[in-house]
Amino acid sequence: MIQRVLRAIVWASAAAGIFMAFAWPFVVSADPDSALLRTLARATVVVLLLALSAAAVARARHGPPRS
Amino acid sequence: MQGPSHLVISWFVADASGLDKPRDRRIVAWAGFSPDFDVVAYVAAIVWYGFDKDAAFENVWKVIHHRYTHNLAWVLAAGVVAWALARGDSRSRFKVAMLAMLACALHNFLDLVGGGPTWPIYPLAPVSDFKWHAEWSWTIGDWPNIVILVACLVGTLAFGKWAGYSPVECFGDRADRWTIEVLQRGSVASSGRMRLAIWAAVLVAVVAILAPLGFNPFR
Repeated sequence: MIQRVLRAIVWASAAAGIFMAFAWPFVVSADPDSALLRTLARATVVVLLLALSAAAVARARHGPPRS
Repeated sequence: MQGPSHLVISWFVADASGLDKPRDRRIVAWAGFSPDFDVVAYVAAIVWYGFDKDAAFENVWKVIHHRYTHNLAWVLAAGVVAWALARGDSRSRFKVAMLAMLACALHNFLDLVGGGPTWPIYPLAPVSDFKWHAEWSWTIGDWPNIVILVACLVGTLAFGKWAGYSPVECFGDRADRWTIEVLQRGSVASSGRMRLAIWAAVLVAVVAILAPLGFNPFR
């Protein structure tokens, strides 16, 4: 359950980041130096890395997956 | 953002997404790294210009870096290549291809945040030359990028020690087994050729890092 939640957070933050990279200038604003974009982008990186770290800890507890 | 950071982050995205086969995780990890394949041109240029990094930078790196590989077309190409390389039924291959595209696209976002203000991405290339970059973007030497790089390297070793497999599998199953054996047991039973390969890789990595910094033993 916890792994599914963390996976969802990873995917959601990745999707948010991809939106900022590919769609933001055309859908929201073409100004890359807006405080909103800077704050959201950096926060998304932090959330992504924290979620990946937590997911890694959860996966490590279960040992090597079947390959 | 540093290349190793992209590779490790992409690998952990693959692992967190439930990919249980090393081959699948490897495909997604290298897809996530792939926009930085253009670094090959920089290395070749440094050799071509006799280790004159300034000439290599002005004539090659400054022109091509990010220009052809940091865009949506490359993301789609990464998905096609991942589909072709993946094995198994259609559903699993589709999952690998989708995650490869996600990792590749994520690379572009991470470079928007941590690639530096002078290295834009070109989201709509080759259809459009539109550049997307921000003055607040971290340069390669800024502390957030260094922290992320160190965290990725430490995380690789820590995860390997506890989980029994690691991002080192991007370089092959044998390399990963050797790494895990060292991490978990502190020694290696027998690995003459593997040890030689590791030292050769370390030497190449040292040259690759020092050459752009101006170190030139031939001057």
